[in-house]
Amino acid sequence: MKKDKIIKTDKIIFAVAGLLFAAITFATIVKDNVPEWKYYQSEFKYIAAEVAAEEAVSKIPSGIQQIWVEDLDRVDRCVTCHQGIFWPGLENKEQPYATHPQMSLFNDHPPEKYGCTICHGGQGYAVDYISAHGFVKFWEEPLLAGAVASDYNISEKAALLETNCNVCHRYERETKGMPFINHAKDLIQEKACWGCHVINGEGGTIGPELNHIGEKHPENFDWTNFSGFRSAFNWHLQHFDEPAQIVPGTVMPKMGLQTRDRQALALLMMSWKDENLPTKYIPGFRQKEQLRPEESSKRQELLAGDGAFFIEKGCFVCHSIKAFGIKSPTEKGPDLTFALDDTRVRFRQTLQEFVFDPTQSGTMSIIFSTKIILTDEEKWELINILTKANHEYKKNQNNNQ
Amino acid sequence: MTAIMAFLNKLIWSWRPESNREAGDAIVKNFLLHWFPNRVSIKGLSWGYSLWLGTISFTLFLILCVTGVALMFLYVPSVERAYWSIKDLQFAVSFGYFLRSLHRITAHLMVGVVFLHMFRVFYTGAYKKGSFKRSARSLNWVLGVILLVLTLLLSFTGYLLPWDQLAFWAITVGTSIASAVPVFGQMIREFILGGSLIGQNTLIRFYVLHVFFLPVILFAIAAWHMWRVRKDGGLAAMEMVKEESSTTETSDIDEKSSKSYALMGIAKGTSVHIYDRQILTSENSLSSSPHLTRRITIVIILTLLISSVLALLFSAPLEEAANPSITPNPAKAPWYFLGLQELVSYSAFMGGVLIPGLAVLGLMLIPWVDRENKLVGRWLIQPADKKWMYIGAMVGTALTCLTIFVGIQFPSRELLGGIFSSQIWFDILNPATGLLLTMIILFFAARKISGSARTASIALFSCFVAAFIILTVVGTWLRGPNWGFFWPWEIWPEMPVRF
Repeated sequence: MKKDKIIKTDKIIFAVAGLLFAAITFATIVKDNVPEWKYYQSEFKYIAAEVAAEEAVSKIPSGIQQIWVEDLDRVDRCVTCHQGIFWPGLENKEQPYATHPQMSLFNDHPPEKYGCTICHGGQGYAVDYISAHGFVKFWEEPLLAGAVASDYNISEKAALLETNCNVCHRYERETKGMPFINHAKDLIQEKACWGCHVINGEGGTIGPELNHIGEKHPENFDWTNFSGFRSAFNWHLQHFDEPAQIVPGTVMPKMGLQTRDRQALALLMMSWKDENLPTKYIPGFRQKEQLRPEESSKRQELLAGDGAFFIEKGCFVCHSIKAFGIKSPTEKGPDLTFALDDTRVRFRQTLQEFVFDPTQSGTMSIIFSTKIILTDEEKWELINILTKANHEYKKNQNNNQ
Repeated sequence: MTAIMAFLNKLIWSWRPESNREAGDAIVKNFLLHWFPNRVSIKGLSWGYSLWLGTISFTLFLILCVTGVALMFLYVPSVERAYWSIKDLQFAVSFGYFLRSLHRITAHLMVGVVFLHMFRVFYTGAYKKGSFKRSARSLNWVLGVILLVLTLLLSFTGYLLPWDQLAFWAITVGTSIASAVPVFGQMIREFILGGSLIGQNTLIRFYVLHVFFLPVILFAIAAWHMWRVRKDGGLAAMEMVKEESSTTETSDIDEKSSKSYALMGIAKGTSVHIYDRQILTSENSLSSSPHLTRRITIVIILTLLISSVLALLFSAPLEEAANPSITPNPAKAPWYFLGLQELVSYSAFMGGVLIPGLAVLGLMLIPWVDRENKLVGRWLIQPADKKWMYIGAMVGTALTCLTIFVGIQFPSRELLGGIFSSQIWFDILNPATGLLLTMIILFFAARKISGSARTASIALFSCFVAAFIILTVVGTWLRGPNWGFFWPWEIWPEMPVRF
């Protein structure tokens, strides 16, 4: 009968669909539970056991690990697989287990303040090999690995990394451990690139401004006369070689650069990015107040005069020193011109005794012990200056009378 | 003690009714027990009649609700965090990538299935009133068109949320169409975006629309839509069953003495369910429980199964973080709007405002254009209807191909640029206008020749479907950088990279 047949087939379909659904649920759970990083983490335990005690090995964390740097707005999960980075003794192991090849860098660049990708590139959020190293579509900052360098015939494996070093170190004229960028900075001066281009905020306007040329999107370069692999880096390489060939009609002269020069300069170009960095991450970054001309010359005068010691040490904030023409903005303390006599009158001490033991004056004992800490040499200098100032001032007064 | 016991008894009262009346109420007032009719016709139950597309689309909606609520716990609707919260989902959250893929794939499937559902209802003539008393299938058709629009809006608002280049530029393209509306265009666009640019204001607007406003409205109208199916006497297949069941004459029923039970008590007048008993015999029907419920469960499981497999196979794309200063080339709208984008490339007003406006209006008006109340609830069985379906589809195909060809070979802006300078001329004289006019001519020609509004509607609808499919295919696969035409075997120019 028709109805029985419907019911029978429905029951079979129901059973099959149910089983298939159970299977796909199981497959989903399995897939989610066998990520690549679990394999690396389990392998690392064996590798670590070769160089470390059992107790240390048992403390190796498992699960997704990350370095979160709030200041840089970066989440780097590289340490999920690269667990050996901070383990000395694994230098010769294969990746991802090896020790970081330049552990000394961590002294100035603590990992918890920098993370990984700010220097190395790659996709910090990702936890699988291809995505994390950034060799995927829609990720613009690939890992600046030796393989990429050799694609451009650069023999030094770490050359490309210097690009990222210079994102922070851009205002330094010379930085240790950055041969390519240092060389490029030499060339900038040698060839006077600043004559035509604005570089780090200063320069000529004949050519385009290069402050943030590293930020220029690859799609925005002129590719019409370009042949070869289309990358911004390659564009710079070819452009430095024959500017007129890549941009017909350009006034930029051919500089006669060697291969290494071009590579260094192209890396420098790539490094001039507009990364959102806190200023404390940028060495050589100075915030300078613009003074009025008269203010500026007055400050110069004070710093150059005989009373420079009192300006540098900050004494002038409370003490005027007539002898040197220094006027305190607050005048909280007595004029130091007369310190030689004052100490005798007020504390029954010579100036020398007072400077070495200012306990008679509550304020000065705090200042000398916590705020203005002078070496013995500086104390003698202070005593000499003040004694001399006192004598000369009195002499002048007498002469005037 | 007794007070506590009384309270506990109250909590589980339906398990231990205190009186016969309460026992009866428990049954009568139970919504779940009244979700389905007592019996369903074998014809209505068959796989081939309705293709179960309505059930599938609602199941997809429920999957979207469940995965969507889970995603709401993990997604941050802020310009700074949105993209990175998706990266977290992708890489660090357990089942995160699956959740996202499933949500994305079901959303696309839902748009597709809702379209197919509309096609099925149209080709079975299920929007016609039929012979049941107090049936209002034409109203339900209108509700269906509203649900289609809501589905598109839901998908479109969700498109922005990942805040990647794909999202940002799809919404840029989509919302810039709004500014083609005469006079109020710019105002409408600013209202949608919450400003003149897509930013945090837009994101939060789209988010609230996507996770609360639109789903709630869609759920309410979908409930109404399904309730109307019951009130209209079940699926339109019932019309067939009714005609075939020669044993009963519905007029025999004494309307005054027969009562209808509704959810809240006794309903006024005689509802369709009274007739059900006359039409549905043990020969041509099955009891809903367990035969209908089993089938529904099968459909739900298969829907879940297929969407899960697709979600595992195709992970949802995530491009670079949104960057207003870099336009990806080409910038494309979601696939279901690519047909319109193709037309927009000829004229923003025609393709973005007039044609979609007329399409939605036209779809809603179908039950009033075609008022022939015959052959309800049957797949096309008349040779004339079939013939005109093919003619319509072929005309649609040829016409659309011609439109695209004309659009590529004779860009109106270049051809007419020398003669006309006003934008109005481009809006009037372009291939999209030709497409629209020819469709209107086709309708009247078909009506004149066949003498039937139903047949003419079939011709027009088929023409529309063919045009929609071809435009969508061209927009999706054959349009490349600068909206240039590329055959599938032609390689798009490679996009440059940093290193």
